[in-house]
Amino acid sequence: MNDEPLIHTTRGNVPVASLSHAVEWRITDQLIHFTEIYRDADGVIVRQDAHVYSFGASAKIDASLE
Amino acid sequence: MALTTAVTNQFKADLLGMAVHAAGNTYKLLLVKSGHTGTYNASTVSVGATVDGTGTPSTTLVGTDAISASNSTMGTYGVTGFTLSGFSATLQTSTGCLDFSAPAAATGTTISAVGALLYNSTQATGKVLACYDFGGTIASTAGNFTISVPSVGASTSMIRIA
Repeated sequence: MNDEPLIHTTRGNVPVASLSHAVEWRITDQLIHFTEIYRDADGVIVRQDAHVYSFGASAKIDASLE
Repeated sequence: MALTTAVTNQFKADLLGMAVHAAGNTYKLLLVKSGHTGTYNASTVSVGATVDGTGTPSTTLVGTDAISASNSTMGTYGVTGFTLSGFSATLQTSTGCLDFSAPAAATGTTISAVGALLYNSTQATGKVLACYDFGGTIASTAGNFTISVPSVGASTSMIRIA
């Protein structure tokens, strides 16, 4: 039985150990963006997971009586 | 074209007109593709009666700016967007806050998105409550696309009205 961990990529399921893994963070005043990048031996991106955390949106409603 | 984080003017008018967005309605978060041609900001009104990735984008129609099978590998992401649950309207000190639970991650996707539109899909035209700018392109390749939502708070909630 082959229990080598596999991961789904643009080339189907491949051994996760055959890929290089990198992460990137981008943090702004509006969101946090976290990306996981998997590359094959040639450096080609075969899988990329994107995660977004948004800080929301605001509005102001004023009351006035003159 | 531009996409700017904002609570829409339409939503403000709906609130003041008591045309409420009910807790029992269905709310969705629709990703806007990279390279979109429409403009999304406070003036955005709706996503359109039908969200299927077709039609010329305008303030009342997202049309071809939606993530669809013609521009992406959809995986488990639906063309009408992430369905949101956990409607929560609260008052945080003097700020009215509207929040939802984070949707399940879309898997098996190849998507390039620059922002998202929060809209009410129960209403016939899919009125937009808010626009969210990602500040650049966020891409997935044969992988997961996950949206996390902020915690409830006067300075953090998804929609805040002071």
